[in-house]
Amino acid sequence: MLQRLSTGHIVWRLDESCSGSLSPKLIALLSKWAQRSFWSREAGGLLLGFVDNETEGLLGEFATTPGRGDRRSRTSFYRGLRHQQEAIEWNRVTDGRGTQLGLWHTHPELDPTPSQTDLEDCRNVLVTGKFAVDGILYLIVGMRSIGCWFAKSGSPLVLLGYFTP
Amino acid sequence: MAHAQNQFENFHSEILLGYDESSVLRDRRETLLNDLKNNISKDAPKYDTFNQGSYALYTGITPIAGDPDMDIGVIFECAPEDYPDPLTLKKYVRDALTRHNRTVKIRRPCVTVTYFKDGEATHHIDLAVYSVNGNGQTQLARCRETDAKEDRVWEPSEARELTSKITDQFKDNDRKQFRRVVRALKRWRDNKIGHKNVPSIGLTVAAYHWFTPTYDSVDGKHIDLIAMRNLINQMLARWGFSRLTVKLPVAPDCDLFERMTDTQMKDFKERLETLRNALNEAESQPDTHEACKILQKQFGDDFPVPEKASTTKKTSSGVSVSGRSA
Ligand SMILES: [Zn+2]
Repeated sequence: MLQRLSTGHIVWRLDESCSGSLSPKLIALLSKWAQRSFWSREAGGLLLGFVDNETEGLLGEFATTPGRGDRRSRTSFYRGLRHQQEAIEWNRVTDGRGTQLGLWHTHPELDPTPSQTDLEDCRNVLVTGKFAVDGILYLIVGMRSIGCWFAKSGSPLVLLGYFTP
Repeated sequence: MAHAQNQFENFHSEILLGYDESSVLRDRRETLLNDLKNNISKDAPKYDTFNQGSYALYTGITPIAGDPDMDIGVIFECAPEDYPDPLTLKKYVRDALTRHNRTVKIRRPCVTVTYFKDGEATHHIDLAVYSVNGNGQTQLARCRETDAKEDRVWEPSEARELTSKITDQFKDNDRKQFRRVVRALKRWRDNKIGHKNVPSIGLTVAAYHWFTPTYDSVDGKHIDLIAMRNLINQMLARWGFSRLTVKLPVAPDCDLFERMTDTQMKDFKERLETLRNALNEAESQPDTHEACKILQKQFGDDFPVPEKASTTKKTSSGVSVSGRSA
């Protein structure tokens, strides 16, 4: 369900009505935060992008990154309130088109899988939050590959696939 | 899954060229046919004229550079037996049309009128000369002045039948899609291979044989991207050891690509594969703006790439709470 295009985009598809892409710029941004050495700390944030008019596809283009208000350790990441403010700013600078598409964070493992803490965070965000479509994209940046999931409220995460950046 | 149907239709309106749309084409044709009428030898038999080629088929496009060419059929009311030497009729046509601002040359398949501006050839009009035999079959005058007498021949050539066969192959909106796809393919050819190397009529007849109208099963809207991809796959599947044969569906039943060299064929095939892959990638790309960038690389600058601001929705930032991952 993941495909790499010759333009460097990764496109994914859950079903007939749910698909999206990750731009090469977004992939490069996320892979910069991969926990490559034993002292690297977890990183995370929101995935930002657009919703295509014709295809309804979720177009991932940008992400918020660790900073003020976050707490980082080797195996956990606390995402502060600043990320929501940056999403509002993203919407403003893109003339009311940019929106948050989901969450990302890093893991100190080669090919990452979501932890219990991740699943609870994802469920909480879906229940209390508001998104352009019914569901969010959930990316975990491992040391070798990036794992992609899609989460709909009330359903378990669906694995879309892994790719190497 | 981008189909970029709006962009395919805008591209089509940008490149299409036809008599109905172009007063320049109509005027040129009128002028030439008036000259023919007023100046043709009194000894010539009566004749009728008709459009043939891309304008008759509604598959004409504007050339990337220069002026568009045109094809006209001139059908004399006589039988091949009346003129055992078909060159006689072609000379009547040539002599009637010769003027200072153009040259008129008798070539084997037709009489070619070339127009000049500042000493440079700008465009040409080909006139094919026909007679009709006892069975009502049109015969093309194939000869030029340097040909020996026995090489000056009448050859079965059913240009009008070809036009109606191709026109009647599809109806209504399917026919419109057929014409859009043929025009897009021709512009791709002009852009990637060059106008002369793969004949337009070969592409058009390939589509006559292997095109299938394609539309969305839910909303019934035509999808040109998929229709073209399927047509190309059909063409590639029929490639023989090294060549694609496209048979004319009327007399003289020839292979329309027979004059292409093996090298041209190989290049044609590779570029078709690249086009097919690009169409597949564009379809896979849910980002309409990015999909159009892929398509523009194949079809050239007349294929529009809409700004992201026009291909994405107005929406809010969305809301998410803070939280912890591990
Ligand atoms: Zn995690």
